[in-house]
Amino acid sequence: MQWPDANEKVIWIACGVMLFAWALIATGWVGGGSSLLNDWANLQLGPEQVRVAIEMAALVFVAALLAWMFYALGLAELRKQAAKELEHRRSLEEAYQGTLQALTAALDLRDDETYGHSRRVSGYSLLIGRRMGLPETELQTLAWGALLHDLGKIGIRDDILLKPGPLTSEERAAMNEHVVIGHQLVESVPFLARTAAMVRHHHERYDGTGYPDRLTGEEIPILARIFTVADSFDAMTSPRPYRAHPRTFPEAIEIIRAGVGVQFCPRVVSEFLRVPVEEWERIRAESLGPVQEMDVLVGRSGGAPAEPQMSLHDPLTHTYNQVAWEAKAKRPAARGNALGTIVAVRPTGLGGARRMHGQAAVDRILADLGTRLRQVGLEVYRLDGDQFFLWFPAQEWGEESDRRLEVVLGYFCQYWCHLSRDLAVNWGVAGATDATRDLAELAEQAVAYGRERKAGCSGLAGA
Amino acid sequence: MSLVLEALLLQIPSTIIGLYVVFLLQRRDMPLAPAIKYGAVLGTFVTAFRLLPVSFSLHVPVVTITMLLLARYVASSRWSMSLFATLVVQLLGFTGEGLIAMPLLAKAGIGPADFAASPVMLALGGWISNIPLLVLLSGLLFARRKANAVARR
Repeated sequence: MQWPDANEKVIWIACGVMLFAWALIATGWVGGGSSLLNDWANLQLGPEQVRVAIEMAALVFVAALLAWMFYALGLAELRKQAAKELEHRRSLEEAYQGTLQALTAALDLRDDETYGHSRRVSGYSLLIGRRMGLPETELQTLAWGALLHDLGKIGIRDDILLKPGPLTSEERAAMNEHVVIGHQLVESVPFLARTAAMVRHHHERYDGTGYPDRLTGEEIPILARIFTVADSFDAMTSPRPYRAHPRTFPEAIEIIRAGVGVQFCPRVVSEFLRVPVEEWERIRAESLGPVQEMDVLVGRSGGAPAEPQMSLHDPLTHTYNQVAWEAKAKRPAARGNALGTIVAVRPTGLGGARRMHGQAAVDRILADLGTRLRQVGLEVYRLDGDQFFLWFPAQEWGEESDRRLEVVLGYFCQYWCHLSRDLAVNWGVAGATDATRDLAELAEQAVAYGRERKAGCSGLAGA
Repeated sequence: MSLVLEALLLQIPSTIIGLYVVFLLQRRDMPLAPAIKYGAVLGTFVTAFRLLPVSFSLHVPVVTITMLLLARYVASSRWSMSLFATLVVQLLGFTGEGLIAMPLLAKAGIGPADFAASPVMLALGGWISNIPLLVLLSGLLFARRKANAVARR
């Protein structure tokens, strides 16, 4: 840790001033003709000598003060420059970060994987990298590379990238090109160029059967080897459209252990195995909150319910709003959007509460309903004032959820019926088992079914 | 015996403090240990050097050059900054002697003969001369503490 360095020239000038003063004293030019070198040995401490000593010291003091002033002036100038540079660097870093987020968001809108995946993989990679003792600059490259690893998929045709079924060998070859495209893209951006090798080699395998360059063992850059472990780990432990239940952390760890020397680097895996499961869980939990908005845009839910953000956020009920719903509905059905269940919930009898107690009371009721629904479903949307939709990805809706929703709505009505005896909630469920159903159509069906099921102040009714 | 006392009471601690100030002027995170190590050796050397039949104040440039080299190579500093810090420390010593110690002792009626007779008196005069250096040291330590507190925030 250095003091801020003053200007080199200024320091030399300051040194010169001090040396000059010293020379004056030592040669006897000041100090009443006494020379330090010759006379000090015989110094008699009479009044004259004291006067000489004070005179010499005063000169030294003035010289030191002058020198210090020169130094301080140079320092102040340098501090100003440093502050400017720091501000400039901060704004640059913000711009870099914004660019990275925009790139990742653009990628995620096309790809089936979530932004949460990139965030999690970045976190997992950093954890392994830190334990391996990588320097900070390498860790930053690792984090950025993890965010951008699939950037090259921007250059892959939709009919290949979004194909729901297995790929043919030609399609697979075209798909594999994404690492080369990604490499070219990041290489051309100066602040991302360091991540280029990682982006290119993140599909290499330790035994040399990966792509694009079929590198083996230590030939694969260390950052890519770390990333491969983190990526596989997250892929196994996250929900996918084609897999209802993700693997548990211990199961995934065992699979990684089995892949040592074949797919994964032994050195990386040995560090990976030392990480306690709680650490993985912590990173997973941390990556969920702020990325829900992105998950909504790409039509995926990443795990625990979280507060939606910004423009997709309904401030009253803390659920997603109509814009978010429309963004979700526009998403192609081929990407697993319709493989799930919609629950339409609409409270009725709010007019009575509004007449008796005003709009504020209705707002409180709706806010409470939003809170209660978020305890049941991962994705809750509020449309048209009092129409709510809950979206459950494939297989996440079942008898248990149905019963839970019934209980929650029953309690909700009983809690608020003192404001309106007519308060009730209609709710209907519509699910799709094939990918051809349109989301809007499914939602209409759920609303239609909703007319048949009802929870109210006097209990439950309907089928 | 008086030389040993002089070295222990004055020369070695003064040199350690001077060297530490020089080091702190280079790097604010500089530990005390190198200053103690090199300062003790240099302080002993200065005491011995003054026994040689050479001009009394010749030890000053010798100490200055040694401190300059130590600042340059132990604190890995630039030549300019090393020289600056060394000169500041040396000149502060002179200032202390001329502006504080000498007038004070003259007023108290203590002559050079009294100094020569007692190493304790010599040490007393020396420490009075060190006052400006000690003030600078406290300032530097305070600045370091403040900078560390800001860095931790």
